Amino acid sequence: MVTSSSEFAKPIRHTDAAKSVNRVLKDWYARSQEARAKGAPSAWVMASTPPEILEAFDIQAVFPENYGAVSASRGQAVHYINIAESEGYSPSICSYCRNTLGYIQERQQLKAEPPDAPLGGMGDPSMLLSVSLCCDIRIKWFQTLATRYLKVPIHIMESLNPPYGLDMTDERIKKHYIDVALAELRSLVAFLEEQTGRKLDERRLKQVIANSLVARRLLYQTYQLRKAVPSPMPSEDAFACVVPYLYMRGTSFAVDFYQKLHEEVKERVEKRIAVIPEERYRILWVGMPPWFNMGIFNYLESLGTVSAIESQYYMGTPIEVDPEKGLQALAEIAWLRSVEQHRQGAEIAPEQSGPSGDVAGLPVSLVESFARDYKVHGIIVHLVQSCRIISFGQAHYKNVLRERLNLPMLSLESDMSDPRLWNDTEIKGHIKLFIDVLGQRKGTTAVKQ
Amino acid sequence: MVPVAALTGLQKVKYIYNNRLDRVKELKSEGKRIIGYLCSMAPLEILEAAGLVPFRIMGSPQKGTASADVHIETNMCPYVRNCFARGLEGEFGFLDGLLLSHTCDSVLRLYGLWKYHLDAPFTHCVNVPHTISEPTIRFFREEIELFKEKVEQYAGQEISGPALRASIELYNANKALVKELYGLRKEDPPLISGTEMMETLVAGLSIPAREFNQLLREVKDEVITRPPKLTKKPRLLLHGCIMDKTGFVSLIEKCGAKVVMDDTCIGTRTFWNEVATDGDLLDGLIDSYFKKFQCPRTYRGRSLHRFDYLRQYATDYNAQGMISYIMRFCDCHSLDAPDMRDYLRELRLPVLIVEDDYTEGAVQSLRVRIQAFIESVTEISV
Ligand code: SF4
Ligand code: SF4
Repeated sequence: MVTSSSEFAKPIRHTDAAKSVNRVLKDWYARSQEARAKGAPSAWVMASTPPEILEAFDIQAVFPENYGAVSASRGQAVHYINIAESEGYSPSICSYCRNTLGYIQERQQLKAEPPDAPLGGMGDPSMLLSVSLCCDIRIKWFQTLATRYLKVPIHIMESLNPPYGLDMTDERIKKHYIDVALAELRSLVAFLEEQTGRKLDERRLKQVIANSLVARRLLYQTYQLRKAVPSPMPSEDAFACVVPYLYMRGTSFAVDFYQKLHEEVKERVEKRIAVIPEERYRILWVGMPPWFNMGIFNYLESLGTVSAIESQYYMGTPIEVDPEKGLQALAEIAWLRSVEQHRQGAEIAPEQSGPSGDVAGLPVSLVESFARDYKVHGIIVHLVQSCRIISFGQAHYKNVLRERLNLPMLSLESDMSDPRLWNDTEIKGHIKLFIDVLGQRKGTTAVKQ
Repeated sequence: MVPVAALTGLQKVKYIYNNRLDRVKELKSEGKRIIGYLCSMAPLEILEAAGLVPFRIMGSPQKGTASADVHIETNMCPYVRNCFARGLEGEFGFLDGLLLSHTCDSVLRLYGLWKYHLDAPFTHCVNVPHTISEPTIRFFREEIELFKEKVEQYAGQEISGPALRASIELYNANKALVKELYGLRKEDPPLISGTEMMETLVAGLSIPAREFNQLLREVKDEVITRPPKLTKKPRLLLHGCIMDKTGFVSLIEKCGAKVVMDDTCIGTRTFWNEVATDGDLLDGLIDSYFKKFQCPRTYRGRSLHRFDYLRQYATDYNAQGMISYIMRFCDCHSLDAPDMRDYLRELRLPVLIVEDDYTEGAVQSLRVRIQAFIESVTEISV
């Protein structure tokens, strides 16, 4: 196995909930493998395909995006990325995608699961499910998988979002977007009914949607608790704790997980159990994390700095819809999420909301309010080279936030899954200088100039 | 200097190509309203029908992207950044509006930033689905209707059925004339070079459609009557992302080949689909701008048959090889490249895939690879 040589490769998490996520992942992959062995329907799924629907159909799903992060954090991504590049895939393509293409190529050459495949590998799916939310890659990636490697049925769900500047109070626009979202949800359901030979269990779906709304609310409340000083839960924990939300939020397991997380963080706030006992500075992390070097957050902590909040994987305010509406409820969630995004400025986050309310990229005013509400002293912007969509807007954030807030900002460049773009010495140097700047400002938090 | 009015045919083309803003600025001073656009998945016929003048925004490789780099990350499409830089620097200050369509990630995001920084009285984005199905077609229809209403509101006049039809016919004539000119490239040697063809199209997209039609007629008359070139050269198909300068085509032709057909944005992708007028006009527009619009950003199934049109182009124009030009960070084209390469290999059609960043220097650095490729094509043909 190719292992990372970085001193940041092994992160230390703080909350019990975050520490349990590795186990959650292992169990999840093991469950999918078992299900596949029994011939149950299984799928490779693009994140933001509504997990509520997968759950309602009992589909064992693995998510190649997640596998990109998993492979990176286990030091295996470079190996797969190299294979994909030797097949002709440009190094500029999303590293999650290159990771999958390398993995599947090796798997097919060996006609077996590669021995070093993290978590035992993704296995053979019986279908491919993608969704067009947020980037062109998502369609092309699954198209490539279906063309070259996996001769199983494929479904691509359209996710359409109102471009910046549209009048979101216009009932006609609302209908335009809800109608297409609902039609696309129905077409996904029809595809799954055909693949599984089972009708959608409406009652189950309603229950699952209700669960996912509870999970969202609990996660939101936990994020509110993270405003406390000293910070009870840092970004490296949050990046781990979104896993159940992103991929299994309709399950009662997810509800339990977020219930426990919420209680744990609440207790930490009450008892002032801090991430670092002497919290000197708090930062806002903008962008994706480097999955292969999550220990970078511990490094910040060793310098008295906690990453108190992050712009990525924020699930938004609780949404009030009636789960009894079933698919219509999911379409409404997507719309309401778009409305929320537009209210806060969608100029750089036009593809706001997936078919059940996931967002890719936050509006600038929301990031600004994070900086204020979480009382940060500075902002670290991590530009990941190969995910253009999440990186896009960071320059704009910087320009706007510079105008609105008086906070130092540091830009780091690497990637989410391709460690070849990371340089320990350089990154450490930049961070040290940045902390010095924070020191010179004697701990000033976000204030208007 | 000879006044442009005194020029005809290819000379006029060259003049407009080198001074593409002249005509729209003149029209602007006459009180016309000019709407800039990029990519072609929104029907220009609707602008034209309301008396507005569409103008294709283009970049300038020699001017760089510094002013845009302050706002857009350098890992986004260099072409889009270049166009935005020109906008920020005021090159398109005469525009009364902007029409973009959701073609790819970079263009959609450019829309937000353009509107944020350079908003104009008419700024609109037509949202285009990535998959073709009953609900997405319905969605696109409504997008066209919304777009039409917004244009009507802005222009202060309703677009009547006959006006839309007349506009569609005007653009159809445009497309038919371009196809005729392409037809002359089937000759061996072709009657018009790839470089001349591209110059003609770029010039045409800088002037009103009616004037472009006239220009196309002049070019055709000129090339069919001039003495034919005698030397035969390897014939190539050019594929790829947006190219709005002749640098790359002309490099290929200087290296000893002829570009006889293309699958590129300012080429067949824009000009190949006339709008049907025998039924509902909106259906015609949907077919031409969405269902048939050939760009890898739209999902067209998992089969390698999605590239069959390339085989058709190669057969119809007797191309012996293909050069594919991929703009760095263009995910749609990059991800398709290995599938496309394998498809063409199976057909035994040699292919060279190059990546470029829309700077002047980059094109020249490709010379050696292109020369080697042309030599290999020549050997195979012999
Ligand atoms: S959003 Fe980014 S990480 Fe996800 S598929 Fe698209 S390019 Fe890859
Ligand atoms: S070259 Fe590619 S990324 Fe750039 S505008 Fe065209 S389709 Fe978009």
